[in-house]
Amino acid sequence: MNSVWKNLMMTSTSEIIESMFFSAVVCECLNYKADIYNRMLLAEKECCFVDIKGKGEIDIFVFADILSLSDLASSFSGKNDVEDQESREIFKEMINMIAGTALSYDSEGNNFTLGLPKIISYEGFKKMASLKKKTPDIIQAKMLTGELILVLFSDN
Amino acid sequence: MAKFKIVVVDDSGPMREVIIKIIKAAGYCDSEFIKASNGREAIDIIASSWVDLLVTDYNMPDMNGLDLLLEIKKDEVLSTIPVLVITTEKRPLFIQKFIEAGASGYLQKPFKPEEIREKLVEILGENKDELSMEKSDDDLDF
Repeated sequence: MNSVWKNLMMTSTSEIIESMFFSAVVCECLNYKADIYNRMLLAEKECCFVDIKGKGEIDIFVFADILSLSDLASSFSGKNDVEDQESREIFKEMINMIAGTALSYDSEGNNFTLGLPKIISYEGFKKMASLKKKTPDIIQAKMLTGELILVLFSDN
Repeated sequence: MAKFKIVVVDDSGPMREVIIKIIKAAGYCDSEFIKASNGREAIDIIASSWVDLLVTDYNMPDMNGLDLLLEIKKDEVLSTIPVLVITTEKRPLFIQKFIEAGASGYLQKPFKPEEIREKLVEILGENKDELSMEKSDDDLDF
């Protein structure tokens, strides 16, 4: 993946987390190392997937632990207690906004289409990731109450 | 009292709630809100009762916001309902599609109450609720 897209994703993640979820956030790129990758992802985390298709394809997987999601969902909805299902809905909306905002910053005029975000299992992620030929780019978004891990696969 | 009937179309339940909260915070708290989770549901709603405004997301299953807009514009009566599109993208070509299809306005998520208020005033006219509140305050001064 070219660095432009990584930067777009980091910018849009910060923008959405700060403006819609009211949390300070620091994003950084992590070097791919299998052990770090597995430790981060094998923990009990929810995974949301969305793809961007057009000139090339970008698959975006975002991992978050349940507690972080619950905090984010509370901030978004203004409710103290948010059911797990509602947290997942808010997680999908968050990824929709992050990916959509990143697309908006794409100034090259590519005719990309954003898919519908889906919650997938870790097994589902592993299956999809195993079909990829390239190693992914990884972005860690550290927030006050946890972190998001963005795993980005690109075919160009 | 101005009481608008507003349909909010978004496949995300929490996002629908947030949009409604922000519209209320923008001064339209006495309006009646009807929720729909995709374009098809929205069509069913507006075909059975008159509404003042339809606020729709773009990226939804079954029928997306653009297809919904195009469907509405095919109907002589329904086409008079103003449609405000709220979505995550702001690419000029993307926005142009909605404007060409007849959208009354376009907002990008995330948006602030004052941004949506500006659009709603543009589309629905000045909110009479607020005018009546201002009038009441004047009355108190006398």
